[in-house]
Amino acid sequence: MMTAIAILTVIAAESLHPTFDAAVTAQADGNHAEAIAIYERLVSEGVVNADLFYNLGNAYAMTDRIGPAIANYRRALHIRPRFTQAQENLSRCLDSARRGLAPPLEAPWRQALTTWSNSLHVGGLKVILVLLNAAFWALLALRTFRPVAYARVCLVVLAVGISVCGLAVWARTNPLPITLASQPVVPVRYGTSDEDPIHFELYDGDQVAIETSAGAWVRVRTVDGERGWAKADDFTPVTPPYSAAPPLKETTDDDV
Amino acid sequence: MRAFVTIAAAVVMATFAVAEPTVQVRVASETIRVNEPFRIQVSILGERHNRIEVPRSDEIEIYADPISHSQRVSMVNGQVSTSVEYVLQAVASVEGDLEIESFSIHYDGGVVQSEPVSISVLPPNAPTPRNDTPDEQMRTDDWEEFVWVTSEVDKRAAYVGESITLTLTHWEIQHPDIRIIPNGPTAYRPPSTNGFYRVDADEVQEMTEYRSLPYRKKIKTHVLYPTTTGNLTIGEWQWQGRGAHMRASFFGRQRNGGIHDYVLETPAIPILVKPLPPAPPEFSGAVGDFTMRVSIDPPSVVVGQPARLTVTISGKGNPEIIGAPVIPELENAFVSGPEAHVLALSPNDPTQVDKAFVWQIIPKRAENIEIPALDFTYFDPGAETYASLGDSPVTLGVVAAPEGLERVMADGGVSDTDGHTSVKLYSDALAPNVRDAGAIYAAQSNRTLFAFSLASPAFAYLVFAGFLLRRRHLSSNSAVARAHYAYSRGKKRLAMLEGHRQDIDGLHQVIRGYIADRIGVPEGGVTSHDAESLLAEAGVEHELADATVRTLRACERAAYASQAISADEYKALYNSAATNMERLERVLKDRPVR
Repeated sequence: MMTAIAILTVIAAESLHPTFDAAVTAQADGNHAEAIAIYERLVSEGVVNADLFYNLGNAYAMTDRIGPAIANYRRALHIRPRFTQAQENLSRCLDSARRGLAPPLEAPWRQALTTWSNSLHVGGLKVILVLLNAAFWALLALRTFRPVAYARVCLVVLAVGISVCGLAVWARTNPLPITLASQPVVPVRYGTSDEDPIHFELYDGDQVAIETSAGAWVRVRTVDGERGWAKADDFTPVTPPYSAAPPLKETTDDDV
Repeated sequence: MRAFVTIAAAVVMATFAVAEPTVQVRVASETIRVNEPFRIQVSILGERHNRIEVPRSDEIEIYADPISHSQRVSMVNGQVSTSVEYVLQAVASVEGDLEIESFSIHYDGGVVQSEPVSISVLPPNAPTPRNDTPDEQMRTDDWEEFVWVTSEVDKRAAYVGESITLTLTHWEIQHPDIRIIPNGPTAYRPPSTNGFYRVDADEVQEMTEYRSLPYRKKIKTHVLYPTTTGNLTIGEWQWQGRGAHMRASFFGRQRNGGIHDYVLETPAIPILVKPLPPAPPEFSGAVGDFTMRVSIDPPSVVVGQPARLTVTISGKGNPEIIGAPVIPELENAFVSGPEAHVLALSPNDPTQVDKAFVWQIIPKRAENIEIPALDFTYFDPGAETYASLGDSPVTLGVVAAPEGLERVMADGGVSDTDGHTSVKLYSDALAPNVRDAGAIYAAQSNRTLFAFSLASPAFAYLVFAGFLLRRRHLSSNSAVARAHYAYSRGKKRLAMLEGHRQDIDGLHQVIRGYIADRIGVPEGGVTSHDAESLLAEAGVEHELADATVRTLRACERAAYASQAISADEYKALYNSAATNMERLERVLKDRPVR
């Protein structure tokens, strides 16, 4: 089955590579808007690739869209934590953001689950979990067949490893839904209506967590615990499902 | 008709005659103590007076500003009369029998003088004599003793922005015979304070004793901050109500003993407001007496996490004009704010305030941020000079973000032309694109594969463990093992006989061995007769059992016959044995072993 999936993957990869190359060429020619359109089309078709997100982040940064750029760099780093160029460009964008509000932190218990595995790819973590799981059952089968020295201790160790690894995989695959403000000014209101008074404002590149949604509105939370409602189409999500960045709205006097 | 005109003229003349002012002066108590304030009531019947002239004396000082004045419309026994009463405050400075000289009332075209009043002034420590009981005091002509209002300020001259405390007190006697009812809505209406910024305190009520009588004082305090220079005026404070004197009747019920309508009014208070002296450039606008403290929370943050810098100005002054201290520009942090929060320290003293200014500081780099000492300059009206407050510098510890990113300043800059910037990043500042991206494919959900990968070892283990259990079960119970392997063993033995011609004995042993193994009896003693009864016991249908027994008997007869059977006969026996064994297996397969 693994082999079959690998073969299918290669076949599919061949079919989408020209599209990616076309976007890279457009970007090299300075046509960033066209490159963004192609990259976003690949994303909408379900391509999840760190290089794709990285190039998309570059394209947004070139067009002064800091929020979507940061979102795509973070996507790339989520897939490939040791992506050096993505880290560098993310740093530049954060420094250039008007405020650069940091993302809300995960709950302490979730941080405890994932801290040790932050530098690991999620796929690698899953492979480790599968191997530990297989080793556990194999050792258990061997012990069932005939006595093995220290089998019980080894089984306990493997069970602990599986639990820790399994919780880390769960926490990494179900992260806090972080999203990026992707308009120059995003008003955050007390309620889900344009008539509700503005509680505070987010700026392009500010990172917030989505707590819940109601129609076209989402309730966001900042790193210092402030909450409010904002329009969902003013944000670019960092975490799956990946959706395209919203088009830039024209700033009105009211927004200011 | 002539008679009617004459009567009307007489009534008009009588009215004018009554309206000519008369004056009556009384003191609250004829016996007082030295240096103890006492009140003088001046009642003027008729309103056509212009001015009251207060007598001057070295022994008794009478303050010209009345602490209250009231306009009274009385109706006693159906007769209506109007009067104006002033309550003045006085202090006697020497002991002995003294005399309050006449008050002069000036009115249109003349002067009316009051009768002198004698008082007895006792030493300071002498007990106040009380000659009358409360009931005796509750005479209908003591209405002015039941209710009165006063207004006081703590200063008559102040600087712009300096606090002035205005205290309005409503005195009301507490006696079962006296009922005081305010007119109209009971909502409190403060006096006009044009030119002042006013802060209201909660009303305080307290019980007190005045001249041995219980009173309830309702004290309303306002803090006034002049907003302009010159002569300002705190307006009159008016209170209107009705008093009723209840007397017990013969049957113990109360009846009305008199009604008095009150229109009490405090005089207007002039305030002189002085301008502030020339201010230094760093003057914050605050006037009063203040202290300052600076704090930062949390003291240490990661890059991008906001910290709150709080500067709290505490003291006595107008909170609205306390300006925020200036925060110097911090290169390595984004600073927003401040947000101002005002908190009154005491509900009864709104001059004591805390005003907090909160800035949000978001570090951009993993390096500590030092906020230098802040300066807060204000005008101290007590010292009549400007004063400055300073606090020691505070340091915000900054550590790297959890992902370990060391942020680098962008080569591009931030345009702040309109405050809502567009960010300019130049291409040289960014790491280049990736051209060879490796596998670009639409990601398939690998959840099923992942779940299968996790579940398959457990499933394999269960199969393996089941196999081992079965195997151990067979090895530990020979009868079960024989039954389990009976058919396969019989087929094997049968296959071995296929090549041997006319091995009748072997064929007999195969059938007999299968039956013995499957049913769980020793093979040696099984005859065709035993097989018939065993198969019947096992519930094999008669036709199949009979066919099997006939095959066995045919084998037995052939074994003891004088002549060997033909190849066709052997083949028929062989096929019959194989068929019967197969049919028996289908029947006996699920039968429990003996």
